[in-house]
Amino acid sequence: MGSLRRTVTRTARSSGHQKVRGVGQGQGWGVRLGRKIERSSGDGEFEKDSDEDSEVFRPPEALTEDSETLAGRDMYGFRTPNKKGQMTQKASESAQAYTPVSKTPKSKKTPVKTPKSVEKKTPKSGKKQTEMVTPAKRKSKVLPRRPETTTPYRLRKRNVADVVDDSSSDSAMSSEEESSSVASSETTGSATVTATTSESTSKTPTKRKMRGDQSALPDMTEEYFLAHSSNQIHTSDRTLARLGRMDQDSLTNMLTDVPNMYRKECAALYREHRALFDKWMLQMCNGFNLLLYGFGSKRPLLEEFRTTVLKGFTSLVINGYFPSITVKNILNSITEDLIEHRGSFRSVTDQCDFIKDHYESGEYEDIFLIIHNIDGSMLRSDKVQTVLSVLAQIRGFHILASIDHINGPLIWDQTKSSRFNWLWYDVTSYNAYTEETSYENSLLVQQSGALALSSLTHVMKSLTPNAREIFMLLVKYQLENKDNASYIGLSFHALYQRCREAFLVNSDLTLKAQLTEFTDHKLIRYKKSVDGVDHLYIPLDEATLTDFVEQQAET
Amino acid sequence: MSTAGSVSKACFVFKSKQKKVANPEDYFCHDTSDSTAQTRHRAFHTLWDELNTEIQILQSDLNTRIFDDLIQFTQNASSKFTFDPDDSTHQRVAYEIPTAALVTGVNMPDHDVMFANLISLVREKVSLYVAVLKSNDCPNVKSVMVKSITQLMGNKDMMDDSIDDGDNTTVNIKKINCTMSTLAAWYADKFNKPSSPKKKRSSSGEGIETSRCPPLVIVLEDLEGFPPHVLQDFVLICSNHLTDLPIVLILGIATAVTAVHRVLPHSVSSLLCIERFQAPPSTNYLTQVINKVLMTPRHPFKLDAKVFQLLLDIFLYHDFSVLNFIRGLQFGLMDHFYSNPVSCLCCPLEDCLETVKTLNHQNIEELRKTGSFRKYVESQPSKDQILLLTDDKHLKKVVADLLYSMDNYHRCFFPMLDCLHCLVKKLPKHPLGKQVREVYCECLKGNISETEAYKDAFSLLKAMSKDEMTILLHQCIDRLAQEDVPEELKSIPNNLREFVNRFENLEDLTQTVGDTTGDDENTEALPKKTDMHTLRKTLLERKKKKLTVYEVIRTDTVEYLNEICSKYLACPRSQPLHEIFYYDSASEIRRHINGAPRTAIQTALSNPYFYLQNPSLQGESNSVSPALPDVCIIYKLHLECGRLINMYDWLQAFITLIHTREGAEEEEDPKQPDKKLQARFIRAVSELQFLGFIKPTKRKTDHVARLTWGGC
Repeated sequence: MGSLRRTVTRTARSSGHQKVRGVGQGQGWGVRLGRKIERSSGDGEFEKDSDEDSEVFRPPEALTEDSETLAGRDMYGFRTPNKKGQMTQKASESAQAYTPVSKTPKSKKTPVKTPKSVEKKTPKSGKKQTEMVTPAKRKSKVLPRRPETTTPYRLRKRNVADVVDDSSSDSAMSSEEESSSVASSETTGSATVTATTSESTSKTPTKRKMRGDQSALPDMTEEYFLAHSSNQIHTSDRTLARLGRMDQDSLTNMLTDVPNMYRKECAALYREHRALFDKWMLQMCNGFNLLLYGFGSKRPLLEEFRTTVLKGFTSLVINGYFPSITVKNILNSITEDLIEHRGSFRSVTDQCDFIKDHYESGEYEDIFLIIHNIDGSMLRSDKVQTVLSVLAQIRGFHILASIDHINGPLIWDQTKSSRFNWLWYDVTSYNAYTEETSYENSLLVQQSGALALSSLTHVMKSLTPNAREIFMLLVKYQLENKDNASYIGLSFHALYQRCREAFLVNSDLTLKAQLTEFTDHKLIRYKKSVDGVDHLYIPLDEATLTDFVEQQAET
Repeated sequence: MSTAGSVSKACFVFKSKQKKVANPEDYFCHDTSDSTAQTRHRAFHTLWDELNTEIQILQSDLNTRIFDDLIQFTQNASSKFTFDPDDSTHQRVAYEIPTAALVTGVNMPDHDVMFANLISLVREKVSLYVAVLKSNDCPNVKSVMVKSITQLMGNKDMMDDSIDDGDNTTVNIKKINCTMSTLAAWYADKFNKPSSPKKKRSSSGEGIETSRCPPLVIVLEDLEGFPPHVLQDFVLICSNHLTDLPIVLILGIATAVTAVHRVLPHSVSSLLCIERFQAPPSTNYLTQVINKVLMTPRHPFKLDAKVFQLLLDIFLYHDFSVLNFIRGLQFGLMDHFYSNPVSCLCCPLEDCLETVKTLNHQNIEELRKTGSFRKYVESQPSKDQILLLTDDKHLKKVVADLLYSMDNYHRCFFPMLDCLHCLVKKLPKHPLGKQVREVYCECLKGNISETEAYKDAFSLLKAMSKDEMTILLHQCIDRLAQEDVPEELKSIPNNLREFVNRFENLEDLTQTVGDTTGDDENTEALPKKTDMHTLRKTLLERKKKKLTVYEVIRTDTVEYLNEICSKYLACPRSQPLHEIFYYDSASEIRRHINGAPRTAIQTALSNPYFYLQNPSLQGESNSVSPALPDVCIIYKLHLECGRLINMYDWLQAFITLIHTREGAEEEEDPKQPDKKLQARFIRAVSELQFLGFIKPTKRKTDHVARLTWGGC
């Protein structure tokens, strides 16, 4: 009888059941983002609440009426520009098409001639000899310089197949292009032209047309899979090795005197946003929280808001882009600095509850949290956002946040975004993200490794000679293997053998004890190889390690 | 204190000396020259408070029925529980945990309020021992146990006791081993003594039904979010202790009861004795909110067609959340009063007439500026026009009249709207929609009597059977007989009753009329000789003429209905001074409630002219003009690439463009490009990385991976 499952049904309204497509827990945002696609993806597929018949389906016009900005299809559409050098091609095309407006303030001097009228110079194709041949007399002219890649990839491939000398054909073809003669199909000139025309017909005009065209979408999904099916990468093989890399300091120095061409316009935008300050305060007083989005750093605006309107109010500034911010930091600064509570908490939830109790039991007080980049990489996790959304609900708490990542809003599910109760403001400013990107390990910026090195030396000083020796063993081994691409570290056993041979340890237990010191300081990392053996690895680059070895040798 | 550039700290506290509270009025009335700001702010506050209380009452009423059932259920479930192991009934039920499956619907944001109400009700009526579990607090069985047991043992009742006994109880909770056995021991200790529980019960309040063993209610707010294995283990543990503990589960389910079976295997779900409770769907709630708040003459604030439609669409297509709908409404209300100077008159009629008297010249000018008022002036004879535009006193009088007629219009509008809704809701294919909100929306869009849908609906009405027709008419009469109907409409029910009578006496009428028509037919014989064409014509004409009496009355009725509908359901926008009451900036709501950050960023990058408005930026959206800001150039170039982007080529392409712009001073070695250009390139690329368009990749040296597939 126990296995007899009884499901008694008692409904308050027998008719009341509803279906939604795609709206489930945690998916609210997906729906929001995808809404524009939805409209085209299939009318009549949605099911509204069963109050309405499916036959009276009405597409959500009010939601998609966005004449002023991009249509969703443009934003989420697929295109497969899979040819090598298309970017370069586009650049030179655009450069040629460009006629500098003489009155524009930023072009310091008007070019001698408009690029169009100039006879184009032989481009520097990536190959060696042609580059040298460039006539010197033309250097004085204002030229639309062609960058290195000229040939569309598929064409180049064909050329190779035809066993044509690559470099000579390159220059031959490009020169033919310059005379812009009607060339045969084998030459780059016409190929570029056909490529561009076919590109432009297939790409841009259809894109415009598609706004009204419903049937275009299925083809585009095909394209997506086509683009992702091949594993080949159609890009040129050039590397940045030829360029001297810069470090962060020289980069900032370089950028200090780069003029902003649209200073006046940016200032106008900024004034526009400033005028909203009173409205923002009003809306925050009425229980809404503000979320600022749009291109450009929003720091200056928020800082100004804090120093002017929020003067005299208790406020907390949180730099969400900070690479090591944790939710504990945020809560601690509330409990320790604002409430001045001395004591620890068992868990984050406890701490939240404490804050809630403190502010809701006492006198009403307005607290403003300014979060720069609420979508910062350390704040993205579900847990952190839950905590923030709980804070947002505490009486008297107001949040003013900025968001930059294009997929940023996905960090909130329906429940959380409802708790935050956002009002969205587009505050596009075109300010450079100087502060925000300074922490990011940019691709081109050389990491000096100075920080890592100094921490390394500090740790080393505090260690016993034996431990130092062990670490040096590992460092040296890693440097020996620096050219080995598949190097994953020294196996524990091998290290033990070596240490024994050097009379550094007498048992594997002592070795383990020595190593904990390093792992605690994150100077050694364990990696498991395929056969499941632990390998020890120092997560620093060669240059830093070499420096370190030299430094150690000195002392 | 600077908040930037720190390498050690991410949070900066600025503490004020005294507790400062922001006064919204200061920000509302930022413009001191605007004398109505204060009035508007006050009007906003009173109106919003009214609406808010009304909505809250609605919310609590809405769930009463389902909550009553639930409370009943929990009481019944626990009533059988005793500590006596020999009890036979006890033995029988002990294997199944009484479980209420509360099907709540997908509108998750609304549930917080609903569960809060439910829990306070359970605490009040059934048992003080309630534990609430949310899926994101409970990643594993241990946390479930800790959460539920601390809540059950550490509730308010316990705290009160602990104050009497000294502080040890609260301390204990933190230290105890959170297992069911502990809980069982605690429970037995508390309630198995025949004498002591009574004392405790009486001390902790009268509201609780004095069942000897109060049930332990555990509420799982979002069943779907729990990890299946956690839930399974938890249910098994609970069922093992059913003999010692009267556990009752309440499962909040957003989708359907089958979710339980999906999460739990048969062996576990068979331990649950599930009873299903269906909460009313959120659409019902929404309908009530709209009826109570928007479709009533009592509250002056109204939404215009586009705004209404937008909020409805957000509701229907995004989240089904009434809470969010209400917030949209609140935002609209706030924006209306904030940005519209004439909104100072948006209040109940009596206050409104008072306010009109106090208006100064500036305010009156604002009124004159409104579009609907200008139209009204144009429709007046020229002598009045001058008076209206120059004489403030005269204008005040006119405005008072207009406000009065506006009020009257609203009073007539909504009863008539309900009538129209009665008439059209059951029509085949629902030309005007099923819900009253859809009909209302149509009315807001324009004069409803001129729309296609309305004409369709009335032609369908003209084809109705007698029975259906009389039912509809009766419904209309009932609606118009209600108290809130103004004098002006009082005659309508009588007229409608007249029609109903005629329908009912159809039998008699048919007889009398039938005779006469019969006579006509006899007298009008067919002409003897005629060609085919004319014969057909005459026959057709005769057929047309031969309307039955019923049809005649039906046509009359529908005509009459049409007449009154078009009279009273005129579009609100045709009324003078409608701007005072109707909020119409849908774009404002769309922008702020339904923000589109990605669109903004991509527009800024692909079409900077949209924001910067500098003529040199104008151009085709797919061309890369060298005049663009650096990051726009970089962005547009990256659109040309596939999945991977070669940094070197990218840099070269960028340099090409920049050189064109700056008129490349001298040809330099491409291998050693200008450091400054390189720096600008680095900045732009790292900004794109920051925005999430690209990320570093290790698949090929000096390449980055593209993360979007957009073309714009």
